[in-house]
Amino acid sequence: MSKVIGIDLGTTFSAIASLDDLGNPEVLASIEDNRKITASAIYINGNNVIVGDKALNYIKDESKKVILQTKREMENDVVYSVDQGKWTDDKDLVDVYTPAQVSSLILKKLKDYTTDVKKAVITVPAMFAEKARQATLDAAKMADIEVIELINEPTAAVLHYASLPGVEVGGRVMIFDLGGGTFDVTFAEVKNKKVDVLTSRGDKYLGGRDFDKEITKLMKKKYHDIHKVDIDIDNNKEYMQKAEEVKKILSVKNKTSLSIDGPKGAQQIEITLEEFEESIQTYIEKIKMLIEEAMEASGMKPSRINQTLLVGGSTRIPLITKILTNIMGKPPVKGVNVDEAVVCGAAIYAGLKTEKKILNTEQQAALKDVNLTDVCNFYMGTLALVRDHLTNRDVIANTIIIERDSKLPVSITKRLYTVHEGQETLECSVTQSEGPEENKEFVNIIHQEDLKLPKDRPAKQPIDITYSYDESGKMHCMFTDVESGNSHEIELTPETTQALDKYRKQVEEISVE
Amino acid sequence: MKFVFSLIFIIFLSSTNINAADTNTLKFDNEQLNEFIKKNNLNKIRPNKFKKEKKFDIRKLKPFIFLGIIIIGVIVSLNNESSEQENNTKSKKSKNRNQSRIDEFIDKSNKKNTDKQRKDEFSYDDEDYKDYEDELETGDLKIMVEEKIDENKPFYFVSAIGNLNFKDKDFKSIEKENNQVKFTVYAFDVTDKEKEVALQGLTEPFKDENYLLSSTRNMEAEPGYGYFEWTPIFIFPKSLVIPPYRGERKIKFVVSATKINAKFEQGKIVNEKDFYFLTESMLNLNFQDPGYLEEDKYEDEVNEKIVQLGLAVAYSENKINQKGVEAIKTWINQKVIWKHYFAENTEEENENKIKYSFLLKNTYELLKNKKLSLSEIVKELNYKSNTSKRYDAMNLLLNVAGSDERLSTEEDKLLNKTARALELDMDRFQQMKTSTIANIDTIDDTNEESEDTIFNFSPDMTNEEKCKKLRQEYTRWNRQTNNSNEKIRNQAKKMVELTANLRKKYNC
Repeated sequence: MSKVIGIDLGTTFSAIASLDDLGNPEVLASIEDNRKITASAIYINGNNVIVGDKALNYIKDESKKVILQTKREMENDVVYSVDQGKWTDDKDLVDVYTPAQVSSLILKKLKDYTTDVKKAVITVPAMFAEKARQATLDAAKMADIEVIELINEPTAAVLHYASLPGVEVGGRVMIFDLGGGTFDVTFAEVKNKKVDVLTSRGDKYLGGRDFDKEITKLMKKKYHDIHKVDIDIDNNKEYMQKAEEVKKILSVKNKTSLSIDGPKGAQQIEITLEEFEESIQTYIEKIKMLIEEAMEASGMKPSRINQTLLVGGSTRIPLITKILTNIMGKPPVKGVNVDEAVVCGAAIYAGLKTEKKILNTEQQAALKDVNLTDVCNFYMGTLALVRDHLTNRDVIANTIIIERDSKLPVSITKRLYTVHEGQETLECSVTQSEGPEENKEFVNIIHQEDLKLPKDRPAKQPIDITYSYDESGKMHCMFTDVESGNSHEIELTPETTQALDKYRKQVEEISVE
Repeated sequence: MKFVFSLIFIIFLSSTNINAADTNTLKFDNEQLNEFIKKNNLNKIRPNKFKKEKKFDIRKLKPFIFLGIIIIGVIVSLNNESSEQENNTKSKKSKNRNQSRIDEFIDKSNKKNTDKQRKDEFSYDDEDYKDYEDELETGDLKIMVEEKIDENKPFYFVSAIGNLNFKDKDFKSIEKENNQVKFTVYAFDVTDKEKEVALQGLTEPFKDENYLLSSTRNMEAEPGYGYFEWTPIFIFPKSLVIPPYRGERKIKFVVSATKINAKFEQGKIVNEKDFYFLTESMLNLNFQDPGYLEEDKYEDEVNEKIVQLGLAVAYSENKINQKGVEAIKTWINQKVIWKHYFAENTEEENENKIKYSFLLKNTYELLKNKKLSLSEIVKELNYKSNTSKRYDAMNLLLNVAGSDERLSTEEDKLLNKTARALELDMDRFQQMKTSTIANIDTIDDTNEESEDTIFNFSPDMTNEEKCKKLRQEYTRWNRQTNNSNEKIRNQAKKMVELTANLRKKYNC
């Protein structure tokens, strides 16, 4: 029988969890090293692929063959070139891998930690764009995993916190999710095991890896101060590895020293906590701004937030706790494994979405009171001609149908009108944006298709547009010509790409170690 | 059953597309106005229905079941008295009389009652019916025009109150047209009593076929219909109500009720037989921009000044930005030359080509010799052009600045200064600039001055204000780091970094 599985596909670490017989999430450990979190690193040498911490061993000698931070590329139209050792948009190169392919190899590895992994809930950052969600689904397909649903990482984490025995979580909470590559801040209302998400904001380019990068800059500066030559921090992944070690040490100590190799030989340098904290100030500002924005969006004030829940390895940095305590006026909740909260929440959610007959009595009892209400993280709209009275022009502009932070499920109908006499087709565009944008340049068109209209009609024919968005992130759009009743239906499930089969074949030939 | 006058509003009519920008598109007729209707609950009743039933809420009488039975008995008996009349014409007078009696009865009952809570409940109804009584005394249909701001945008609302004063004979024609009546509004400048001029309208759906400012709609009408409170029946964006000349103007709005196929010429009905009645209202307007006749008079001058401003931006780094000049030439072609081309006026087309060539050359010389007074140009533009033309000018300036794929500090400074001088809305300007920045490769953020210029910080801004603005900019750009257009996405990432760095600098 298929197990109830949740997977956290992270930028730096990934994990897999299943619901145990008592209905509690259990993070599964690697058979090789018994570790519960697996580095999202891949070493590729022809069909020989090594995934996880062992792949990191090749950074020093075969750096180009080690792929890191794939999650950050999920929304991009790029491939990883093993020859060049970087992500590129040049598709004509050989020995290249798409972000979805690389992610599928990580998923394949995680699958091997247990048996009978057929279906799973996979987590994604709250602000993951449609394309990145599609790529995640592609990756799952290539790894032969049927995705029950994608769930936003902070949502999964709060579900875990709310279900934890012995941890008092209640009232309005802020979920502060600072991982290796992305940052999400979410506000939710928690009552017993009932979770109502209010809003999420995020930065897809803010995480522990960025802090590591800042440490490499410190290393470069210090080496330069002594030898007057630069070390190549951009193309040598070893420096990043060392920086990560420095960051971990500085989470518990005030300074550390390390030896770095450079053109003038090895050099011992010292990095202090103060220097590190100063170097990440720009990121701290971004964090503060996102918290401010999320508070504004949900009408919250720090005094009204009962608890701050931490998620993600980067929350171990002492400065983060200090900043959060300053902003919120109280320290965050401690004592929960911040690396496992997301994957555990994913497993709980998988349990909620699994047919009851598949769950045993204890599992059903454990999940009985768990309830989740999520929100739509984007504005969903369409393109229509509107009059800009300031410039006295008709312009094609984005017209919002579903507002951001609408509670799911939601269904909204708006009436629009045809423009021209004899208009025979209607371009049905579905747009997605993080802001209430009017400018069509600033929205993503996630679907576009024509609806045929009856001939020879005057202008101003009413068209009803209905968008329905369910809890699983599936959107159903219907464009109906009111007079003729002709309608055009669009089911917007994050779908797989057309080239999937080609990529899938390539992945199938690879055996993951 | 007690019918009172209705609360209605229109669903804005859609229109043909002036620019014909996209043949497959849809039109969302004035999203903002629809929102306004929604917000103010003006769309609760179907657009063509005037009726509104005011319920006598029996639930309020719960503690007085016995008393309630008496009241209902009285209502039934009174209704019987006037049933024939009511069935035939739904006469408001009889209903009024009936209602007064009910009110009187309730009043008397209340006086006997000492329980305050109970008294309040009756008083509620009593007050309600008093309103109803007032409503019935509103008389014939009147209109009023007032300026209202909704979500920072100004509109003129034409509101109505009173009965639809049809004559008996009118109802026969109305019945023939399925109880439909056409209401049309025109606006006339009557400042000069001798010379009444209908205002022009170029924008759908606020124009008629002869390009006069107008709006029209069909409504259901039956005896006894009307508005019991001031209700918006037409609405015009303020920017579209342009008199022929600037200054103190008297604008008369005329709402006519006519047969469905009635035709208008110069805002007046063509065939009197189609006419039922009209009502009008005066709006005193102090119009600061040039009127439309003045706009025509100043058009050439304004275009020339805009070209000069454009060239000033192209020369802001003391060397000419050739791509910027190309952007100006394209603008001249679109705004000036093609107009004559389509009018098949070759002579004027050629004259203009020569004129603008000389203008570019001369302006370049003036710029080189630092003899071009930008403040004079802006002053003239402010006097001789309307708001939309000034935004048009700013669009050109932004195109010029971004034409070489980079925005220099000098260009940016000049843009900010010009936007302020042209009295544009600074938020709107910043939005326009965002669009430009998103589509270029580089912005000059190399020094302190340029950083401040990008976000249009004024010298008098406090650090707190700067921090707030930077947060807004961060939000704006962070949203674009998801954009499917790689160029915009990359630029957004840069801007996100810049805002965070500046927040650090200002110790936010």
